[in-house]
Amino acid sequence: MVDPRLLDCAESLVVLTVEERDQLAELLESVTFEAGRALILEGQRSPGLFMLLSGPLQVERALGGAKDRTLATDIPAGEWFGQVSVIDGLPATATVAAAGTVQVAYMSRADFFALLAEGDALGTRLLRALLRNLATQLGRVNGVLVDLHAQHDAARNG
Amino acid sequence: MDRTPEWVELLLTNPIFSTLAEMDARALYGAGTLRRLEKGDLIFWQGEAPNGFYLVLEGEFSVAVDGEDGPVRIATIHRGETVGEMGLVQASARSASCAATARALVWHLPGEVFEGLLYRGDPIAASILRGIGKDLCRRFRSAVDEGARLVAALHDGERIEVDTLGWEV
Repeated sequence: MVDPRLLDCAESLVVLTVEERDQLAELLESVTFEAGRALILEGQRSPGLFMLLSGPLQVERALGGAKDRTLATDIPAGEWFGQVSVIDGLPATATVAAAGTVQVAYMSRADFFALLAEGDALGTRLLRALLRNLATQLGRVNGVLVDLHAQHDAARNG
Repeated sequence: MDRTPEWVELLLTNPIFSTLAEMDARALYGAGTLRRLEKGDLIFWQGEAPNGFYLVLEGEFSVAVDGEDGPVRIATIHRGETVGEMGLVQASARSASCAATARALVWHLPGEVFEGLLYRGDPIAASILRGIGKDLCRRFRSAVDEGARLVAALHDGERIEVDTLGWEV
């Protein structure tokens, strides 16, 4: 289990009551990854849901073209990742790797769907929390896209 | 004439509700309300606190954001499509306004009805969330792919470290 207080860094979980947060903490597993270890591999289905508790993570994505290139970024504590691949069942969009010692709260894909299948309100509320987090992430990506389009247009016209 | 069977059938053709059993779809439909609108009527506006979502039964709607020179249309919502469903997962204010482009009819599921389903752990709420989740995942993948394409074009051949996912690096 995970110390319930560690989950307070997740903005997406404010929709849970304290009792539900504690119940969720019991279902999550605390896992530590050392630098260089990949948690999720691009092109493969994510093994489950991860929430960053501490440490630096790097997100990389191979790009098409003559040379493969990678993107990288950091993830703040409290962010979920792996949820897109778990929800839609498709391969992960990027590789997520530890850039130092990283602690995450983890729930396997099987445990997540078992929780949903139980019909318990917690499963549905966790799903909503994940979607809340994903919607926020999508909003940020769309914001970046606006800037990238502007840069692209400027480069093409300049 | 009671057109409930027609509207329930339309509900089930929408991807968000496609996993519902017909009986559950009927129960859900009964928990919502019908609203008739005239051209120009708003069902929600930018900055408003979200209250549930809408399924278009008849007519068409324009989704627009405030621009410097007036509203800028960003999408058109047709019969059988939903609008406002992000309000079920996000507490933030509506990001756009939605107005009827002609006489229209919508089915509205109020936010408090959905909250009630969620509170009770009703499987209908889980089905709706799964439908919204699949749509969100599709949009997220599409946005990330588009970002990767633009970054590749802008930084040809370089290894780059950019804030592509929008987090502070």
